[in-house]
Amino acid sequence: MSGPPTADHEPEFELLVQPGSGGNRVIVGGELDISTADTFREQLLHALADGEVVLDLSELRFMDSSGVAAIDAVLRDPSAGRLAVDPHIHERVRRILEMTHMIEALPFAESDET
Amino acid sequence: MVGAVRFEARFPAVPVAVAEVRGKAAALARRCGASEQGAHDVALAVSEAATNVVIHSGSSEIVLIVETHDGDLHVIVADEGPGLVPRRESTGLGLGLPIIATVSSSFENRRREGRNEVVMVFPCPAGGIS
Repeated sequence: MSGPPTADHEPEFELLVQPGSGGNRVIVGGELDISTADTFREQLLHALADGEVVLDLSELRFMDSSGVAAIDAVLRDPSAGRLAVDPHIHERVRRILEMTHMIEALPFAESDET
Repeated sequence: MVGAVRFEARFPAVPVAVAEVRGKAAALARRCGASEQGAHDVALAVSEAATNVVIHSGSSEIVLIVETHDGDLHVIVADEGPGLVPRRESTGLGLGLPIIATVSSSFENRRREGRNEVVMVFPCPAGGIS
């Protein structure tokens, strides 16, 4: 089975900045890969330039090493001290964060449940 | 019906095509009886291999080949570029191949008939693609 080159399925990706009293909540959903990682990194850094950010990855369903590299780049930015990560992360995304040891570098926010 | 099936498709070697390549591979893994976790492992490995083609190969196409051998699912991501070429401007962390090694049963890089192939082997619980 073969066919002509096509790329008719683009990855789903959403990034929502939700203003809050203590800063912005950045909610990321869909798939984080080579085609969406730059947008993710740039928009997250833009939000961090405005102040404190809680990064919500609970709606993210896929991430590969491009996403890990984007998070790494954000954590190396001087504004990274204003970033906290919501600990509610989809199991599949958590797995690659654990596999690459990026999970150990994430500044997790305190869970609402604790 | 379960039997020997060989799937081959070509995609443009551009970033937005990577999602489609991994989606096709994961769908075939499900038809091979893979669990959702197993299909996700296939998608992750293929995403890494296809990303390497886009960034490093210089090829205009990503070739995806999926077939079964001896009850295993063999997923091959190939390109017709000159071979893995380091890119100084690459922002990657070099995690792609270690991730493939972690989620696959085995994998190898090889050059065959003028093209580079990453061959990744996964369980095929159904013994073949339905």
